[in-house]
Amino acid sequence: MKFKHESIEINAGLLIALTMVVISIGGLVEIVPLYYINDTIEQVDGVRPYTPLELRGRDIYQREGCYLCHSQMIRPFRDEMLRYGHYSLAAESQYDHPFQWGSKRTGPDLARVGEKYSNEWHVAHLSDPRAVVPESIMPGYPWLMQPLEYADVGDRMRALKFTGVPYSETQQEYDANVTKFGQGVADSLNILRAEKNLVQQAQTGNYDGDRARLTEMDALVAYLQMLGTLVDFSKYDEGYFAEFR
Amino acid sequence: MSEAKTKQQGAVQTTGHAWDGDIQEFNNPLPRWWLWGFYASVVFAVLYWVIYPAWPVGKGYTTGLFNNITYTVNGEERSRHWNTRSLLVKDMQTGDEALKTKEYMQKVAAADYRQILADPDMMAFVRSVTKGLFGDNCAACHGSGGAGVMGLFPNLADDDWLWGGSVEDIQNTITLGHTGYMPGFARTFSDEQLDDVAHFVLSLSGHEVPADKVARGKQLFTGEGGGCYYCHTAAGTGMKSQGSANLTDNIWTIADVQGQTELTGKVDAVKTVIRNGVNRVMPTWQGRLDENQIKLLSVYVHELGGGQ
Amino acid sequence: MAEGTSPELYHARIPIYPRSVKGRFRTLKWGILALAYGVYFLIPWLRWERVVGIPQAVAFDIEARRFYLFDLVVHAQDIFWLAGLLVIAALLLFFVTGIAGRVFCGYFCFQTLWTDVYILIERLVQGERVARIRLDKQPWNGEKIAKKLLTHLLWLLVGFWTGFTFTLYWGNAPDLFLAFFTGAAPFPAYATTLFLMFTTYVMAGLAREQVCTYMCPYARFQGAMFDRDTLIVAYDEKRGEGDAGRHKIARGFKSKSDREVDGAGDCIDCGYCVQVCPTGIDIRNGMQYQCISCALCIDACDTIMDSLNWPRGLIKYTSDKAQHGEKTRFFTAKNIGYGVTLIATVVALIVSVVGHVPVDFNVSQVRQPLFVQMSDGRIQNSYEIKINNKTDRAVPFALEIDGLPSAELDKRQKQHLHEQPAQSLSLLARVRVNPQSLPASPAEFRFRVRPQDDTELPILEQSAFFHSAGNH
Repeated sequence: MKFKHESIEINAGLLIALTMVVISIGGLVEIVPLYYINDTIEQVDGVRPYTPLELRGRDIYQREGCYLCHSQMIRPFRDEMLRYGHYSLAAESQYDHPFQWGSKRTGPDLARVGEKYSNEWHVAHLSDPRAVVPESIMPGYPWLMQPLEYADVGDRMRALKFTGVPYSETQQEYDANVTKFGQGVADSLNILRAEKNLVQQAQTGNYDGDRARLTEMDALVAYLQMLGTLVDFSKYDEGYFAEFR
Repeated sequence: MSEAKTKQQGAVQTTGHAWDGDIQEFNNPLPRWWLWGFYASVVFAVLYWVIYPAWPVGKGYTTGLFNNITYTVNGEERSRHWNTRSLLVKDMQTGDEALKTKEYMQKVAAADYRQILADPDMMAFVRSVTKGLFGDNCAACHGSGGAGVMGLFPNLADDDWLWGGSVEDIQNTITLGHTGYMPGFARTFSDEQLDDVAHFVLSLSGHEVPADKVARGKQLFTGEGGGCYYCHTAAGTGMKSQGSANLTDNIWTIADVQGQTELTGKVDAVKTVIRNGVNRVMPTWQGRLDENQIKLLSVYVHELGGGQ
Repeated sequence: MAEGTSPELYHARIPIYPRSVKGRFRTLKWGILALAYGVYFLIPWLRWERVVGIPQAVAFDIEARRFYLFDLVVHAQDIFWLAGLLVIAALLLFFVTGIAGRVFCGYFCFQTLWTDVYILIERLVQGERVARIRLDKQPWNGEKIAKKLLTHLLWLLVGFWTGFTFTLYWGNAPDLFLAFFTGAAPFPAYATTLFLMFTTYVMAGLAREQVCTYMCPYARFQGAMFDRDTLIVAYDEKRGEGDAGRHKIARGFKSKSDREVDGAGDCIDCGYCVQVCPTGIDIRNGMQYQCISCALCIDACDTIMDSLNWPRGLIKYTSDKAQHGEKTRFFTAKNIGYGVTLIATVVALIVSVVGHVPVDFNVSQVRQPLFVQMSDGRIQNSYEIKINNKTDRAVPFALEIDGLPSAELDKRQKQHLHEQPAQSLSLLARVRVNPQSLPASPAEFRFRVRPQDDTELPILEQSAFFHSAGNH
């Protein structure tokens, strides 16, 4: 039978199916190669998965919809470099599921907000932004001072492990992490010790300024304070990361 | 020509499809120039593939030809195929804005503080370029306008300076940092004594307070019992070398005296500070900021409101 | 689609060989063309004395963000004048189109002007319409190659000079001229020139009427401005066709009276009006979107009517109403509305240009912190002040405040500010005042900039607010 254009036009189901095939070609051609091209993820030291406390903070970040106003991707432009710091690397979000890149900046980019401001500042700012930044339009999040629920943090890590994040459960996985990240980080990635690690980090860091309580503020500030701090850029020369593009 | 003309004026072509019995679809030919435009865009795409990174090949990709970007790293010239990161490196080194900023920077670096402060043009540059530096490094504590936070971080916009308000003093503070320490007197003073000292301190800045308490407080302040005068001096004017506050003026950075309307509140505020002491740290920025950045910040902070 | 034929992939352009014509409208159009070309090509070379800036009567200095139009200097801040100019251009277009149809297309549009010149070149090199058709049909030989090559070379030359002249507006023409031909001009100069050369060549040489029929949006929407009173170029169908239609001059159809016997109209079907048409239409078929109202068919028909000693006007400017025996009204509500708005905009622009002050003065209070307590108990507010001197000389200014009796103004810089010509200055000013002397917060006061020489510059004022703690 001779193919007729008409048979597609009068058959809505077929039209939709073929349209999707055509459209997906563009995406496939652009995205799929990134999974096997060597240079996609830069060779860089220091990037590790989130600790249990940071992971809970990240979940709260998403729960509160921070990503609606804040991106976490500094683009390689002069103005962004001057304002936010070194441009973001693919390597830095390799353990992010889902990534928080975004392009909608109602608030500033947060990709390198870590260690820029003090914990106290973050606590004051998150509770009542205008107390520290009069011109801010950010809403306050005073309820973050409520106790943090962390009984399920192990399950959360297991879910991420399923997507490929190297959290460890078996001795073998743990040993692999020791080789890859070193003893200290490998310990923090151990799902079996997750709750203990979480409490310990909150105690040591005292992110919310109140050691007596373990709050959601602890988790969120711990997360914010590590954003963009894993890579020590002074170890790499100016042109190093361009070699991967 | 006549044939073409009949075509132009003749019946309209349709695709031959009909819906609902009478809805037809025109099948007008495209103008030739449009078709050429289409071919041209195909040619453009092919040229683009040649010049820019385009096709994935195995574990790499075609990098594009004739389109290298050259820049300097550690004094040695490097060249990469076209990519935005190399473009950025180049832009940061030799872009129009980079050169313009560099030129101004050199001018500022070569000038001394007196020259910078007297030149409106240089001052305008310092104010605009340093705003970002201040916002990145200082505003987290001191606020984006330098107003500080009562009880925690000093106000940089007023004319009272713990560690000195000349540009040189400010540069020194930024470079080396400071630790502002006052011991707590909870164990040294009884509550009554605390009350007396607080009254005396308030009297220094012209507050109307009972004279008997002032007299007792003064004894503790200037005597060995409290030893406050070691740092604050007997007159209470403070010492730049210790970073001790001038207690005789109207500015309070730790005890929120101004925020209180009643005298008892003011006394309590001062008492709390004497009881608990003060421990504040201004970090050192040497190593984190280069010499010129510190110079810019010194001028900027000096200009925030009350530089001496 | 006819059965059995394959569909056409594209619609080939039907070549048009416009024949030349002489007449009132052609003369008028040549006049407008000469004027337009004279202005466009010569203006950049007109010199103009200036203290600061390019000594050129009309120059657009992007780097200094200044446009020079004779004695008027337009700064970036005056960009709304451009908006005003565009509004005026649009309204003028609507106004004229409402009354007289596509006057812009037929007489003033650069597509029409440049196409006219390109056709002229074509005619001078290749000959009249018939010769050009023959040349196109004949096989490629020396003559054809030579003539075609010369035509395209001349087209490219005109295109080049067009693009180059455009470039000259953006710099100092003599300098740029020298730099351009010694290879020392900036890249954008070459890029702009080559780009415009290419587009001129393509649009006026190759695409021609297709620009109007396919590309130009204005051609398509001006129908919305037409009404039955609008002037259009139209064929007098009643007169031309008579009762029995048009008829060529032939035996028994020579004089008017002979033709009347057979009922033939005045149109002798010579086809001259079709041959001169730059868009290749037959005006006798009625109003068509391709018609750009260039009126060349009127000239053509008038020539024929004159030679026959018949009255002119078989093809003429008329309106739909006039064609139907009604009276044409130009002063319709729509046209009056366009006219009034047009005049109002022109007046507003003139007032704005004449009354503009060549010094900008701007005060904005520093918001963070809004106020600061000083050690002596006074309150300090800071203000970011910008003074932009747009004149061509140095002006000393004094900055003062008014409305805060006990206040101290600290400018840090000197008392008098010497503003260099055509430069802006920004400074921080601080105002300190004893809060007890303030009636309420915020207290309103004024900053004043006073020119210190005997200039005609006015004293500028900007109000500001004063805040203090306590009562707000």
